[in-house]
Amino acid sequence: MDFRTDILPHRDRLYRLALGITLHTAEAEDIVQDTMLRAWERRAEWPEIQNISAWLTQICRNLALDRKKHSQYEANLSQSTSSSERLGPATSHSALSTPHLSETLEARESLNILAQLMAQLTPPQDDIIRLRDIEGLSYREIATELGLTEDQVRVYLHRARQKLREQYTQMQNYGLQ
Amino acid sequence: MDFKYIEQLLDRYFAAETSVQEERLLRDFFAQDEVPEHLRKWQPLFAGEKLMAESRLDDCFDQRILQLTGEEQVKARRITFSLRMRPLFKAAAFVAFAIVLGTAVEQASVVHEADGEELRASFEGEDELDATETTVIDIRSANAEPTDTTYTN
Repeated sequence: MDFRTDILPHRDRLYRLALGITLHTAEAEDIVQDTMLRAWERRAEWPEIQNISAWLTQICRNLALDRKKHSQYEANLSQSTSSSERLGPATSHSALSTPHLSETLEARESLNILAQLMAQLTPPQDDIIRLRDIEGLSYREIATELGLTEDQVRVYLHRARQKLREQYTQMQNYGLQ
Repeated sequence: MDFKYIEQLLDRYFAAETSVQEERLLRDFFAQDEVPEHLRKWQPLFAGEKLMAESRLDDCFDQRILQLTGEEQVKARRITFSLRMRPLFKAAAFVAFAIVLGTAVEQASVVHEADGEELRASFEGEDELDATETTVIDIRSANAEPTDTTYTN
C-alpha cells in the first residue's frame, strides 16, 4: 500500500466530511491534514486494514467532532466571559465564524440547513446520505464502504430521506433551530 | 422544463427510488435562478447538497502533505533493484568495453606485426633474389670480359 495512491486520493471526500461537520473551510482543511498525518504515523497498520476508506473516515470524523466540540466550548467560554466581565463582544472564532464556504448568504444558509439536517440523522443514516447525496455513490459502493448489503442501504436511505423531508419541513415552517 | 416531472422526481427522491443521474438532475434544477414558487422551498436543501458536493481542496494541499510526511524523500529511496544497480552496470559495461577494445587493439597490433614480418620477410626474399640476380649478372659480366678480350685480342 502506498501513501500517494491509496491514502492521498481520499482527501477531497474527507474534506467534505469535515466541512459538513465544522462548516468552516480552514478548519476542514486542517482536519484533513491531521487525518493524513495520523494515517502516515500509523502506516505500520496499513497492511492489516481491510477498508482503508472507512478507516480514514473514522479518523477524520473523530478529529472533526473533537474540533467542533472544542470550538463550541471556546465560543461558550468567550460568551460567558464577555457577559460576566463585560469586556466587549466575543472575539473567538467558532466553527460557524468566517471564512465560510461561500460568500453569499443564501449559500451559507443552505449549508447550515444541510449540516443541521445531517446532524439529526443517526448512524449509518448520516453516512448513507453523505455518500449518496454528496459523494454520488451507487448502492453497491455505499454497501462496500459501510460493510452493509445493498438492501440494507436502500432501507436506511429510505428512512433517512423520510426523516430529512420531515425535519426540513419543520425547519421551513418554524424557521432554523 | 416539465415541472410535473420534477415533482415526481422529488417524490421518488424522498422514497429513495431515484438513480444517481436523476438526483444530479434535481440538484441542477434547484441550482437555477428561475424555480417555480411551489418548488422553491426545496431549493436550499439541494443547493446545499450541490455546494458541498463541489467542494474541493486546493492544489497546494498535496504538495504540503507530501512535504510534511517526507513521502517525497521516501519515494526517492524506494528505487528498484535495477535502478540501484544501474551505476554498477554502467561501470561493468565500461570495463567490458575497455577489455574488448584493448583485446581488439592488441589483436590488431599482433596482426600488424605479423604482416610486417611477412612483409619484411618478403622484402628480404626480394633482396636475396636481387643479390642472386646481381651475382648472376656479375658472373655473366665476368664471363663476358674474356670473350670481349678475346674479340679485342
